[in-house]
Amino acid sequence: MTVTDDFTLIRSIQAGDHQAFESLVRRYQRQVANLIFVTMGGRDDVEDIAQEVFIRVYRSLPKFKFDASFFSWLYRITMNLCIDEIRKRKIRRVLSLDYLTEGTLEKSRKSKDYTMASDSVLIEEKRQVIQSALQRLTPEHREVLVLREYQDLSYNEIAETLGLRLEAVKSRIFRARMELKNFLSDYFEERT
Amino acid sequence: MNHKELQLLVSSYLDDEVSETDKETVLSHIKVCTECHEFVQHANKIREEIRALGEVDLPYAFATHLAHSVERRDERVKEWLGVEPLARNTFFVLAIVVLVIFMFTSSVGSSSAFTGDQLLSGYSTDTVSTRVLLQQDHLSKSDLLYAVMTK
Repeated sequence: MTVTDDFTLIRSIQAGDHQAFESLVRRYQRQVANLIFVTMGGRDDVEDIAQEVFIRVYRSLPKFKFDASFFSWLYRITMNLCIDEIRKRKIRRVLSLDYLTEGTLEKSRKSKDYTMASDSVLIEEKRQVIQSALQRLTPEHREVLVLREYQDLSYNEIAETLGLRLEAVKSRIFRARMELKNFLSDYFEERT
Repeated sequence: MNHKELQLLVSSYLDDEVSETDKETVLSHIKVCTECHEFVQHANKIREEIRALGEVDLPYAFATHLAHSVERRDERVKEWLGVEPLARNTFFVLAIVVLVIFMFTSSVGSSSAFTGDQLLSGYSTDTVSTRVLLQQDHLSKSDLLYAVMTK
């Protein structure tokens, strides 16, 4: 998959080829889904958000300038939508007092008891610890770490995606690791 | 090279983003520096845990459905712009006519509106009388004669 391939597809889409749009979506749907999954901290709504991402991409493609890689553009759209969604959820959580009711707490306790009995509890707990530690990172640190450790992008690719200098990427990744190490130090100590 | 620079180098080493010379520097440093040695261990664990989060993928049909829905939307837009031009143009013309009529009637209504006080004080409503009373600089003899005869 090369930049030229992306650009060829984009030109076809701009000319009205819907088949080309399907190919472009298929090429990036996995990466977009995983970005949403890690950024949002769960699998819920991954498909809905991904759909919104690609619809926004389609609408904005006529304005696409061929001066940067398509992935970096797609990445920005995905992250902006995730940030909007996180904001909306925070507002909804503040507005809804439902989670404070005794019934809900009881339900939560029961569900925990049930889960405790399951063998998958440790895996799920570990996943939650890592996800919440990632959520606690500053957005700048989270994005470099996700791109590096999860998407397996090289420093050059990260620099291009985020529009940063190579030195800035190196330093950000180092600081992100330090921050995450501090958040997870208790967890790692417990496990050793 | 100070310790801060070495730490950065260690982090880059973990990502295989250092030269062979720097790699040797890092390897000899982590043998003697407990802090950096611990950092490497933690960073490796973090990487392992992040990668263990698993991956998600969307159904294969996702792209097909999305492309179809986008295509349907485009067709609707094309229909609106191309197949029914008469209906669309008629709609716009009617909207403009209604707007013009509304503007005309509202401007006429506001200029001919007289208050109760004006009528009681004998304020004239016809054009010539108004010119006699208000705009005397444009008054002709025939205007004056007409005003006297009609009053």
